[in-house]
Order: sequence, then structure tokens, then C-alpha cells
Amino acid sequence: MVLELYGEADAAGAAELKAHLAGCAACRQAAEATRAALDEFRREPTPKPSHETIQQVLDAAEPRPGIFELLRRLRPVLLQAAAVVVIALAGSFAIKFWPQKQAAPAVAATAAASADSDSAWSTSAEAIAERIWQAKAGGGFGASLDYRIASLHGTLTSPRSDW
Amino acid sequence: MPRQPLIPPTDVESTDDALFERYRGGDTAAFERLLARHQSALFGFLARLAGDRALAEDLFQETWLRVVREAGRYRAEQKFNRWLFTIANRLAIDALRRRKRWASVSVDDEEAAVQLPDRGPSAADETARRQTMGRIEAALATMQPALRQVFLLRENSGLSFKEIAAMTGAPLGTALWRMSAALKHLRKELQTME
Repeated sequence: MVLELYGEADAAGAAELKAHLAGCAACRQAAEATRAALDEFRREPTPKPSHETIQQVLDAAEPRPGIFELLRRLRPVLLQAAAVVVIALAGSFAIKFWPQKQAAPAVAATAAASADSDSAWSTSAEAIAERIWQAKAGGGFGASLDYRIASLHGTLTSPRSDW
Repeated sequence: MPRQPLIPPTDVESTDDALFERYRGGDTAAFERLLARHQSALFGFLARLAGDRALAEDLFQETWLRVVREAGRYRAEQKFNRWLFTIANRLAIDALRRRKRWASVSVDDEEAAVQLPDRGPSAADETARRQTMGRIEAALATMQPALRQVFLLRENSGLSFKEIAAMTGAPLGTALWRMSAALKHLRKELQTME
């Protein structure tokens, strides 16, 4: 009977049921009561989802932009950011290299002068030490002074970086 | 600003599959049409199966979110309506099982299935609830969940018993028996209330 109620019974099944109901009062009554119950059910208002729920579903259904679409939308911002980066890099290079070109000769000169100075200092210090040593060898200055002269000699003849 | 009401479901010229295909191509208006077309039947199914409006709202939303998320996996031969109700049915059964409000029923339990639940301690509550709910809602509330599932699927989704049997993982005979038991229960309940 269920199949017949929902229109899914084949022709043979529907005919068989019809014949049975014609001769069976109990089944006929049950079938009529079932149809009445179904009619009542179908008349009942169907519950509806809330507007908020519908709205949330619609929001979720909005297509998410793909990577290319996202890049297309962000293009103005990306271009501005790229311009800022390029300007910053250019400024950085300019600050780093432009003043150094001006200062380079002075630095080189200072370095050369320093090297000359070191060389001159070394030469003159050794000369002084040599003279002191010769003076000591000639007469001597006493034990205590001998020690100091030896120490001074060592100091004067050692490289400046050891001071 | 809230969106305007959905387009009325009068577009008989567009099939569900055609609308869904358009939605997959980026046409959200097609999705709105699909939603408008199925929202009443789907929500009615969920609300009456769950017997809980708040839960039904969640399930309704989750069902459509699955539709959106799994749009790429949909194939036209699945039939949109069947696919939609399969998702909803699965989500609802899972939710009801988690809440211990789902019990399967076998063909052998026919007598138990059509009996009303024990109303001893909560008879007054049940009576009060029945006064506020519609008579049909009360009849559905006392129906075994597995019977209610088949009954509501047939009434709300428009799917055939064969499709419902496949969806619920039951043989066709079992689905038909459940429908028969559901109708018997509904008939008895309505007669009792008269």
C-alpha cells in the first residue's frame, strides 16, 4: 500500500491493491485513515530556517578569490609597495657609495701617513735604543739602571702594536 | 546590511544541476535559487527529524557549507537533491547519535516501534508540549527515529523509496516496512488525539 500511496507501485501492484481494498473493509478503512493522516501532515506549515541562518549560508557561498584574482585586486597596493622598496634601496645605495667616493682619497692618505709614521717611529726608536745600548756597553749605568735600559730597549724595538 | 529575501522558487526552467553548474562557474545568484528551492523541504526534514530547532539550524547551515566546500566533487549523475539530502541525513544522524537520541529499529521490533514511549513521569510535560506543538509535530516526536527518518525523507525530499533505501543503507523491503510502520504510528497518534 505504501508504494501505491506514493505513486511508486507498478500497474499490476496497484490493480491488485485496488481489488483487495474493494473486498476488505478493514484495509479500506486503514487506507482511508492513512490518507487522511498524510493530508493533515501536508497541511501543517513547514518550519522555516531563520534569516540569520540563510544569510550565513549565502555568505559562505560567496566564491573565494583565487591567487591570480587576489593579485589582480591587490595590484595597486603591490605597485606602491614595490615603488617604496625601490626608492629605499636606491637611497641606501646612494648613502653608502656616494660619500665614500669623496672620502676615499683622505682615508688612503691617512693610511699611508700612518704607515710612514710607523716606519719612521720604528727606525728612530731603534736608533735611540741602539745608542743607549752602546752607552751602556761603554761604561754602564749601574745594575738597576742596566735593567731599566734593557727593558726600555726591548720596548723601543718591539712593534707598536705590542704596547 | 542584510540581503534582500531570496528569489522565489519559481524558476522551473532551470534544473538543480544547471543551477549548481552555474554556481560552480561563479554565479552566486544560481546558488541563491538553489537554496530558495530546497530550503523549506530541507529545513523541515532536519527540524522534524531532530525535534530541536536550534540543532536543525546548525545542521541546515552545515549541510549547505558541505555543499559549497564539496562543490568540486559533485557529479551531475548524483542528482543534486539526492546529494543534498544524503549530506543532511548523514549529518543529522551523526548529531543525534552524539546526543544519544538516535536508535535504530529492526523489522522484528514492529510492535515496539509503533508503541508510544513511556509517558509515566513526564505525562504532564508531554501533554503541555503537545498543546504548544502542532498535533503532527507531537505524532512525529513519539515516532521511532528510524521510522521518522524514512517518513520525512519520503515526504520532504521527494526521493523514491529505492533511493531512500540506498541512502540509509537498508534494503528496499526494510525501507518500505519502516514507512508503513511510520504511517501506522502517525494514523494511530492522530486518531488518539481526536
